[in-house]
Amino acid sequence: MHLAFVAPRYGAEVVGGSEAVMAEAATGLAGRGHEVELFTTCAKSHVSWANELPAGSFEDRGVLVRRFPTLRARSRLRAAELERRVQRGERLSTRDELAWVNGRFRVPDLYLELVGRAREMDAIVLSPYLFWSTIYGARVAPERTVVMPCLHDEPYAWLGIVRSTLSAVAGAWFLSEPEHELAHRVAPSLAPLHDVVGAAVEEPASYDPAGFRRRHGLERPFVLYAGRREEGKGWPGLLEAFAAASSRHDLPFDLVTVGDWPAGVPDALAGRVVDLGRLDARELPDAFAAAEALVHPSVNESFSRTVMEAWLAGTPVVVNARSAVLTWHVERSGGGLTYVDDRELGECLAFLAEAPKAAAALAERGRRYVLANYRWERVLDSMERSLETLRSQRAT
Amino acid sequence: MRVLLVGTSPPPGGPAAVETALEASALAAAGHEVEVLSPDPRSAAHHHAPLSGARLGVQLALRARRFDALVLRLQPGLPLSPAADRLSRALSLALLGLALRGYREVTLRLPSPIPLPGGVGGRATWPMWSAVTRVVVASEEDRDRLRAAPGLSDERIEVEPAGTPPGAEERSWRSLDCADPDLRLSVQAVVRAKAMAGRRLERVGASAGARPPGAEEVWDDPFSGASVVGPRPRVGELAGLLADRLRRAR
Repeated sequence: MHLAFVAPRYGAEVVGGSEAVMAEAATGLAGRGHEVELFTTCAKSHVSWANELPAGSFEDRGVLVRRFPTLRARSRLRAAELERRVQRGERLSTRDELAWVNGRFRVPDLYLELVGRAREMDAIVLSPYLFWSTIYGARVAPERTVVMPCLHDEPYAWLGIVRSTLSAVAGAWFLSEPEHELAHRVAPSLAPLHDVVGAAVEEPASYDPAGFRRRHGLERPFVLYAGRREEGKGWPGLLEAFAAASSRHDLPFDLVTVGDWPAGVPDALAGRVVDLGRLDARELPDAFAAAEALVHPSVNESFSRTVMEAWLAGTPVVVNARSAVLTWHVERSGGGLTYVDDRELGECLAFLAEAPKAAAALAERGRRYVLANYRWERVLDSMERSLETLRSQRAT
Repeated sequence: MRVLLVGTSPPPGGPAAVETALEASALAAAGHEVEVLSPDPRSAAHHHAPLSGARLGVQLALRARRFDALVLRLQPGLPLSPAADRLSRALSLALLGLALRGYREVTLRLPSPIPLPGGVGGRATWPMWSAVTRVVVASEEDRDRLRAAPGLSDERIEVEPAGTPPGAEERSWRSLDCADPDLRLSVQAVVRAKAMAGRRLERVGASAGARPPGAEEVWDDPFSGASVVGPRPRVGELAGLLADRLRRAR
């Protein structure tokens, strides 16, 4: 099959869950003999959308990558005002919703390329749901388009343009059952051909937890937060909860964080929170293996690769109970705990400190869960089945 | 203490009935004299009686003299069915509120969603809320909803997620069985219970109206709405209190 994947960002320097799934799915399908092109932008940052990478084409692991420059809105004030209204959950007119999408970034060259070449493609796969590349890309050839929305229950998800996108396209791929259920609520007339395909993580050849501790001078045991240090991911709340938990319990753990954006650690926690910044992708598995647990405070998740990577490394997870997806994984696997507030986080950490054998038993269940459900062979099989169905339905 | 526990109880069972039995068992193990009143005549409760609508208030009032404390588990149909009309709601809750005043300690357990058709607010609910010593809800969201209830101060509301085994907060982490297929559930229940016990202690410490063991009780005067320090009056004493108020008003 000839496939087009459309992702707003691509590259080793890009951090983002949906971008990683798109890149790996594209590479995996190319590895299975499909002709895969990946259309993306020249941006690295999902905030500035500045053109930091050169436009043009190149091949990467069997995938032909085509980069197109972004354009930004002329009126930043108007874009900011619309963003505030969306965040407040206000109902916007279709015109305002489109102005909001156009106010972040646009990639008209990518759109025109798709328009010109859509008929060559057996399928166009777009992700995630809230960007111009997906909202506009879905209008090019909806009968051969699959959206992998990576949907979260957030104000953006309830926009009319998202509902119409999920209803207009031929297919949708979801990463988890809670995301699938949310999509039915968001778009009652959801794309008829939809499936929970999941995502997958690669198991590294080996882990080096001792080397990781040594390289970074980590002498005390630690729990890990891996991800963007931003409000939307729950990082400030985790700092507060960790401080409160540490004040109530004599916890032996530091909180180590890796990821993009400044960690903004308050002075009161300076001795207990270690910011390692952005790690090389090859070193990240060692961080998971070295941690006593991964703490995941984010509510807005559609899959959560970090949780899978932690389990794969034999590390239990402690996740925010308000995230339907994280709770779903933890309940299905038995591989971790959920917390609703700093008190429960404190008790979870006390458990990890006092019952390491039971914590390891939880982690083992998580690892078995990942190996049984989230291997690339299985995910790619689901994707291929879905694409074949799409092609055969169009032919008839 | 002589405790009357009211709710559906097993057999035949169901999660709510099992929780009633577990709670009764835990209270008995703690040295209390416990009797269970269930609306289901098939159950193994000590007493059976119809408890829908106004009948709950009547049954509780009849038993008030024999018990010091009451644990009441409200459920759909106990006392109000989801289809209960306003008149039935007002009458049932007024009688219930009056009956609750016959007990020195009243714990009201509310599942989620709270089974009160018409909501937790309104004048009809005031007699009930003002008569309870503590209300236990299943989630922080329910706690937030109850904050709007008339006559119910925040420190009397506690959150205890459903399925928390009695005494779980006392369990040691080291006693966990690593081979238990439900290990996660066991750990999670202990986490919830320990956190809940911590929150309860924090509220007791923070609230001027809270009552540490042995200290004097604080209750809301049903006539003035003010907080009063001292033993909560029984029904008969309330009548005297009302007469005293009327005399003074004159």
